[in-house]
Amino acid sequence: MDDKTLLQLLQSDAEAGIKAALDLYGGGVETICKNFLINLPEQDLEEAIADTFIKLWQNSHHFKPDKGHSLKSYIYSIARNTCIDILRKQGRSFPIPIEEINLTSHIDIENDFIKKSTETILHHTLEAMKEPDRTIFILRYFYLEPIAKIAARTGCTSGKVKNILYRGKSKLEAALKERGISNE
Amino acid sequence: MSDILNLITQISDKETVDFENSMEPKRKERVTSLILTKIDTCTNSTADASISDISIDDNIVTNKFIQSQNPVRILKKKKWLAGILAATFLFSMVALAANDGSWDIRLMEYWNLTDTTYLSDGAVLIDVKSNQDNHMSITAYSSIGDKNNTAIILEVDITDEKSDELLNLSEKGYFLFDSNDINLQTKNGSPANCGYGSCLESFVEDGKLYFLLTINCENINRLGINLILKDLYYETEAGERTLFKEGTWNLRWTYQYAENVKTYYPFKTANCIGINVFITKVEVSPISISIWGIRNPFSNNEKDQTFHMPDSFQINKILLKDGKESTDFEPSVSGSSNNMFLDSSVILSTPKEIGEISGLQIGDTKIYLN
Repeated sequence: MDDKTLLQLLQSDAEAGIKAALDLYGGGVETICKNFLINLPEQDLEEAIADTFIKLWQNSHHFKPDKGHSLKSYIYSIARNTCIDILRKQGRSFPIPIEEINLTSHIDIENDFIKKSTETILHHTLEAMKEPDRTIFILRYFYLEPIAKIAARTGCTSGKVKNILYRGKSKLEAALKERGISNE
Repeated sequence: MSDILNLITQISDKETVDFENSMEPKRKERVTSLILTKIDTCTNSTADASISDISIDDNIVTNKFIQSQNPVRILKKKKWLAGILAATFLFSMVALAANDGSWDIRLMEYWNLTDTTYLSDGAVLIDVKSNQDNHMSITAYSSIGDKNNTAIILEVDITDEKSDELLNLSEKGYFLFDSNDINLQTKNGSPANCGYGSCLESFVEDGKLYFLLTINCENINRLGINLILKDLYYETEAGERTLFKEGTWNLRWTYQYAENVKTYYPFKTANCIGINVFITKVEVSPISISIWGIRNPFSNNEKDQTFHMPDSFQINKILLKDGKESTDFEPSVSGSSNNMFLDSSVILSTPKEIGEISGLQIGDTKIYLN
């Protein structure tokens, strides 16, 4: 089923649309929610999955498949944001070690110009990454996939995954510094 | 120092990867059921008891216009209604601009409406009860608004010892729900196609807890409103939050506004301090009056081209049916002008019945509304 048909189904028959969306994207949403809500009860996890698909249904009118975005990435973003909201509400931090995510420099992402520039630099840095580096980077930092699972999925060792992540982070920091976005 | 997760949030939805598509079958079953239950409580169609755990069939009511209600009860409600009408109006004007979300309450204080008991056209009395959970239920009992905005009073009814606790707590902080999902749906149950905003504010009066819910959505009339309120918390000014009542309360009904704006087309020229403006339209509501006009560029007395239009094109007086004139209003923050087309508004300091207003004075010209 293509994105357009699924959206039409969601709008015309909510139950059938939701079931079809669950068939197509349920596993992905489940994985993302598990990654983010790793320490939370099963009930919270299932609520998060359910809320993701309810939000999809509620916003199905607004998503325009012709504008170059895939419905899959849209749904995964909803899942991610839903989980972040849950963590914030419960006063929890991301389930990822601080030392792994810290950058050595400061970036003022509240500043609109810097935010926009950072977005561009991020895209360029990701585009320049070879596979599987790019996928590993997104899996870890965008979807919080555990390193062991990334290793199993990509056929790399955990050590290599860590190394790739470190390299990616360093490249990104260097690009940000080069363009004057970050400061020590 | 920054962290990579904050940064990576900037990347757009285009960056994605593939995941396993299939979900654990048992989980899928539970999640499907959970989704359908939630959706079912959102829709306007008759609730299917086999899907929904919460019986909300009784909540579908027909809106009744306030004129048919008990006068004593109406009098008490009018205070609120006048306030919420004012709040609704401001709500639309500030377009949810306030960060702390307390414009409506401030507005009610600003209007000092406690002694005002005008019957405001456009008030709709509703009586929508939520389910009872943990000795608490919520009733939406009045709404007011127009086709794009509404303000609704929610009355919280607590029947156990917690109700006494309310009185002690009310002075020192405020109440809030852990989650307040507000869904607007069209007649066929699909989500309303409007980017809507809402605001829920608590206040306690006479030992009762109320919430003022304001919703701003284009063409809200006839949409189904579904509220799912979960876990009532009390928060002190210092930000300490404690659970006051655990539970989930559902309310739903179809929003219907009563027409509360009267439109006139005077087609009369007003002299606004040296500028002739042809008044094309006047809209009168219980809390505001708006005027529209077209500037006459060929009028002989218009010589000063630097004239500041917004200051000159405004209502100077309101003419009342009893022959009196009123200046009891404030210029609205809205209003615009260009070389040709002008408009401006005033907000009444005290809500008035539309029928009380017989005309306006714009500049030095009196315009009667027939």
